[in-house]
Amino acid sequence: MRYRKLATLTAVVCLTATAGCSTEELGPARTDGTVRTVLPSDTSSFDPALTQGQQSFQVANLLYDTVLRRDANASLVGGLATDWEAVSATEYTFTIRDDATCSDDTPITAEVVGDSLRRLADPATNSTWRNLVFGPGDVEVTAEGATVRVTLSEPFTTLPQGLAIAQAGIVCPAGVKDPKGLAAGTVDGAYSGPYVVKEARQGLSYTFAFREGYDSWPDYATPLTGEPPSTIELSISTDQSTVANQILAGDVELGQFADPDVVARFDAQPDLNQYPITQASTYVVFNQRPGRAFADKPELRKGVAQAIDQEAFNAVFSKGTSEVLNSIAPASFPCVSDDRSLLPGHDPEAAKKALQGTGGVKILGNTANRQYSGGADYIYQVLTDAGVEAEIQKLDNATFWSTIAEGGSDWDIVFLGDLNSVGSISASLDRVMGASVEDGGRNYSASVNPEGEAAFAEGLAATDEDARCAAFERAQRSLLERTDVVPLVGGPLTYVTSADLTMSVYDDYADWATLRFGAS
Amino acid sequence: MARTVTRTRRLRWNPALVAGTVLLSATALVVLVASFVLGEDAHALSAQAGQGPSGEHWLGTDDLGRDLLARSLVGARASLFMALIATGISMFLGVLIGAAVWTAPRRLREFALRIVEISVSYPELLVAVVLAAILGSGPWQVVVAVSVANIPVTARLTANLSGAIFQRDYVTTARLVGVPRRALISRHLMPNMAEPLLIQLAASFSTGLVAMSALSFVGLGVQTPDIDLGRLLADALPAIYSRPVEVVGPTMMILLMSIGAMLVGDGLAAAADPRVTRRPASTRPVPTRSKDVGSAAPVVVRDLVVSRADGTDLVHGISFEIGRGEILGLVGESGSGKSLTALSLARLLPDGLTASATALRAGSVDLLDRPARAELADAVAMIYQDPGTTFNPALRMGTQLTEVLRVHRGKSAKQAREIIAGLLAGVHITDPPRLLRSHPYELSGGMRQRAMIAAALAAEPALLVADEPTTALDVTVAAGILTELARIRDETDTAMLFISHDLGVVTELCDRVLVMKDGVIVEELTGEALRAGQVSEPYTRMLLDAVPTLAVTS
Amino acid sequence: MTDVHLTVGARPRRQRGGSSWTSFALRRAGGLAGTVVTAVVVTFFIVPLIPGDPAVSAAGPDATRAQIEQVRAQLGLDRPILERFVDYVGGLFQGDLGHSFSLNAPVADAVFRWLPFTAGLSFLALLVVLLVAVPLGMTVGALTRGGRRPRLDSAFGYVTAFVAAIPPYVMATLLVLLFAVTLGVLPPAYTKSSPGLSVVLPALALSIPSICLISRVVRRETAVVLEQDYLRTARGWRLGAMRTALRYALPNLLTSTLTLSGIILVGMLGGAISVETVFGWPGLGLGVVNAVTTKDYPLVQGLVLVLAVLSALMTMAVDIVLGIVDPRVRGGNNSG
Repeated sequence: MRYRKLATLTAVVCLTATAGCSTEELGPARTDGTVRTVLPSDTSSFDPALTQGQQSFQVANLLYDTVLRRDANASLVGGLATDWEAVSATEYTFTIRDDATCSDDTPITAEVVGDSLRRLADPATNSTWRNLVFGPGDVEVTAEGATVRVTLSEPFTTLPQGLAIAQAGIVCPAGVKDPKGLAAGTVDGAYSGPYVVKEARQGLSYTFAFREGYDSWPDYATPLTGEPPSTIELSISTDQSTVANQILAGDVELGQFADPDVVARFDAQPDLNQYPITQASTYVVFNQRPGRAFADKPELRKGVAQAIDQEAFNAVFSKGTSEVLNSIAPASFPCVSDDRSLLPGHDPEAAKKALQGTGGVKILGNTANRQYSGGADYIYQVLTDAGVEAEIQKLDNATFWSTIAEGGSDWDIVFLGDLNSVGSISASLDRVMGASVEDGGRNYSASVNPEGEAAFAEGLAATDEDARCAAFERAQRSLLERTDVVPLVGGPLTYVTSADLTMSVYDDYADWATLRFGAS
Repeated sequence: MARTVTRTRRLRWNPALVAGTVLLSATALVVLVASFVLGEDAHALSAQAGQGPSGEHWLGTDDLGRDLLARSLVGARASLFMALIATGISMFLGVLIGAAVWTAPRRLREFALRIVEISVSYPELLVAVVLAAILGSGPWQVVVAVSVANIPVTARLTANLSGAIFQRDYVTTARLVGVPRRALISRHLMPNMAEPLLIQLAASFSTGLVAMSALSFVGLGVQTPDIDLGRLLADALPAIYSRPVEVVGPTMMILLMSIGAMLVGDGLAAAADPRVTRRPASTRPVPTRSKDVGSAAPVVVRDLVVSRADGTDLVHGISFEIGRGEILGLVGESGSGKSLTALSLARLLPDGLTASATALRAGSVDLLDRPARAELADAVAMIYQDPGTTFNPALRMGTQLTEVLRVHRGKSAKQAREIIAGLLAGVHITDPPRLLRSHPYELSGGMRQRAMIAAALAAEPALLVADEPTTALDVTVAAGILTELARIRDETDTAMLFISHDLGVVTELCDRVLVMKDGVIVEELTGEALRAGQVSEPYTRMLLDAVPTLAVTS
Repeated sequence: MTDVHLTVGARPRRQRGGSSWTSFALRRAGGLAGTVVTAVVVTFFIVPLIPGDPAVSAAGPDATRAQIEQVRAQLGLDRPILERFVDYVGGLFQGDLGHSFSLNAPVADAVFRWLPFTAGLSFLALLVVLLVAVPLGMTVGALTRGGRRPRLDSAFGYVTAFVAAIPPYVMATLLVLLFAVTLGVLPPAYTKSSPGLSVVLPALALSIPSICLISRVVRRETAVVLEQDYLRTARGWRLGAMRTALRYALPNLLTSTLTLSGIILVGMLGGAISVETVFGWPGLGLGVVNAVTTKDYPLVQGLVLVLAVLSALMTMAVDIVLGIVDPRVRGGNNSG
């Protein structure tokens, strides 16, 4: 630690004469092409297939190009692929561009892309994104000439959307060969994207450097202008207020904030750019396993929905800044139901009638942050007001998820934030219908809804977009009519950048690879 | 080392104690009453969300429209109880462990002490964080985490205190005669540890409060809908930049309770420590000059009055002179004013006492006229009563003994050591260099007193004041010291004021003796007259009769 | 987290036999070894009691049950705990603290990356505390000895009690609000580009409450020391107020101040947990909080172990310095 001595020395000097050295390094943002940003936790892995958590996805976006890329208006554009076709619900072809290279100058051929996708699909890789990208069936990936062909054993028409997520980023041969080094960020030739890992000091900081000569940007409808940052420096801090202070002080150029109180501090700073997105969808889920309070009791579930005022919840959860949901995903996602008549609506009297005297209801609350904790308090309070004998247990984020992931544990109601990273309603639907977690699925509630499941399966098999949406909307209708879930509001996240730094946001998807200095 | 506290005294109230107690109890009362009255408002949702202070809601409302003042008070009630319970648990278990350790068999005790030492070295908050993470969120979980984290400190304190007490004679005696352990703890240990433990109790309370809130801050601790001050504060802090008023309620509550506890601790500490008790401020005497009384004697005292700040005279205008090479004895019971007379001469009167006189002179130095330090050092040197406490325990003897020579005589350290070594040899110290290397605690009382004499002689003072120099020594050692003093008188011209309550010692040594009673000289005698028993005052007779017949042999 | 009143009884034990430096050092080394062994054993078996499944946490919310089991096997969490303990201890001897799954890096790498930050911050804060609190406490103690200046005495008592009662993270936030946000003279959080400036606020946040606590203790100790016989002796030698204070009062305050420093440093390691969060200071405290929330057992174990060893080392260092300063602590009779 070379600077440690200096730091101590400076500090001692400063403490004795604070006035003396106060202006160094403070002031307007630097313009040497460096973006400094702070994440709430470390990126779990540099292997895109194994990466977990929003912050890691953003880093994966920098390092790995995807076959397709998300663009505005829920559309997809070519990334590494110039062209793609859904031959059928189970067969897809992608034509790979000929000018892309890996960070070690290996050309990115169809072969390279195929190998990377095959690795993602391989159960031995143990990627949690495999099923979200390819569906639960078997996967066969072949490469011939410039074409990659993906053949599925079960229909999964959201495959193109899946191939646009950062977790499906293409890993170059050097990385495929050395999975351990890939995860640790030590394989210099592993990257297909615009940046490489220059330095990874886990727990402390990461530096990403722009690849000289990289020019295989996605084929966006509106081309990006400006200069990509030459370096992106990333450090770790859990406290959002701290990061906000740093942005306001000009020490940091990019930050992300979920707390509405913190976001409100930037309102008086017109120079800074704000990019609000809906990062997650929140809704109430009932435990419908036999013997639990809400199993086979749609009228009770409806009562709960009537007890909740989405607007009031919004005020509590995010000071009214969130999007009020009509279904289990943000309205910007394709095929999301916008029919509010499917929701019972706020009716405290009806709720009281339905719920009065219901006993033994256990609510689990997540203390991940103020918003989630306050939201759970709200639900506890309105249920108590409606005459439910409810008990609330607060758990930290990790314990919360592991408790409901266990399945039949001791709970009746949770309100959860679903971070759907695929951007497709199907990735949210299978959390609330179909195989339960104990049966290897993702359905936390263990609800049994054959009608909805059939519509869901139909949607996954429909290659025609309209037919697919119609089927998915039927699945949502069934879900909401049964009140298996109570949609609440979106989980807001606001990106804030310094005046000269911009970022492109496609619907609710912020892509760090689109960070630009001096964009017009 | 533990400040030893004699059996429970009546608690002496002092301002800090009063302020702390009032603050704590007033806060507690307000919190209790108000939280019962406003308890509903603390949880009731209302449409007025996120409002600023108003007549209806003094501190405004939160995101759910709940009254922030009501929430602060209800939270404060929870915190108050939690901190009290946590303090209670940690104090009870800590004291139990710390005290039990000393009644255990030796092997077990050593082992247990080791464990306590080890557990103290873990940061409390770290232990609390890990425990809170294990136990999960909730008020009692926090109480357990914080109290367990706090036990080692209390246990070590108790172990140290009881260790000191167990080595006292009366406890050893009690153990020898087979007093049961429980009785030992309740009868001997507890009363003697009460005050330090009370102080620790107050400290635990305030650190407990802060620790609990810190747990909430890092996302552990109490979770809503349960609230305590930590939860409220942690939830309010992110909004401090936009709505600072939310932070006010919980912060004030933590501060009030914590300050209250800290002041109580302060007050208890002050009450427990007699040395820090208040005395009236001293009035600084205006320097005057001694009147020329036309005496050639090296030491002249005329009409010396020592008085307290409230005007009470303790010494009532006494006068005497000491001749060259003369030892003047000053005898009397404690409280007769003899030591005050000596300290007046040395200008070392304790705070709150002032001396005035027509003349007060030693050698050529006028003691009334604020003499320069070096002059004063040349004029008067003192030998004190208790050689056990007169030397600084943290410094080597050499450093202390050579100080006067180096400061006032400008000698180098080496020269000073040589001179002192010579003087030490003169007072029959067998290995002066070794003594100079020693720390005071390594020496016997007699050696220390001899060293004190050597230090006093180093200044070659006009007047040597010996204030009961042999009282704290056993008879044979005392005899040696007296021999030294007699020898000094014979070999130098130093005038000496020898103070004692023991007429026997004075009889042996002094050329002339003044008998003091209640601040007045009642009789002046020559050494011969005393030895012959020719005294006129009944008081002197009484003192003389009190002398045991063991004569001092010189 | 440090309590003032502790010192009243918590000085090092002095009653035990064994005179030489060797046995003194042996005793201290034994204590250190005890702390380390206890920390290893206790953390290994206690940390897994933290609720929440690390395999679920590592696998993420989208994992299926089979995938979670696969992750569990990869993390080695499916093996018997005793077997894992043996491996863990074996690894410790080679400096291997395990592999953190939330960081995807060896625990030792991360811990030793954070260590200098916490150690630097704590030592700097301690330095500030000692440089300010000792002279302050001595001055006030001397000015108010024997009941002089009662108003200064109570003002000092109330002000320090007030400041010391502010929780460290609130103090930290207030400092940021004042110096970084309102005045804009200091960075609000750790910045790589100017670590020297960014350490100022966290160091102040950590040291201000301690300054208040320590100066109170020093004030009280000063009052006590000034009443001692040996100080009267020193006054009798007419050495002058300054020399008397520095040479005769200070060394005796040193013992209690040093003892306190040890306690304070250990307390600062704890206080760092919340202060580091406010300042995004990449130290061990921030690491502990993150590791606990992500159920990263190996990381929690490594951090607790390192923190425990660190505080034990500091306690030992203080003891040794005390042994030099005040030979009675060594408990000898004739060390010469």
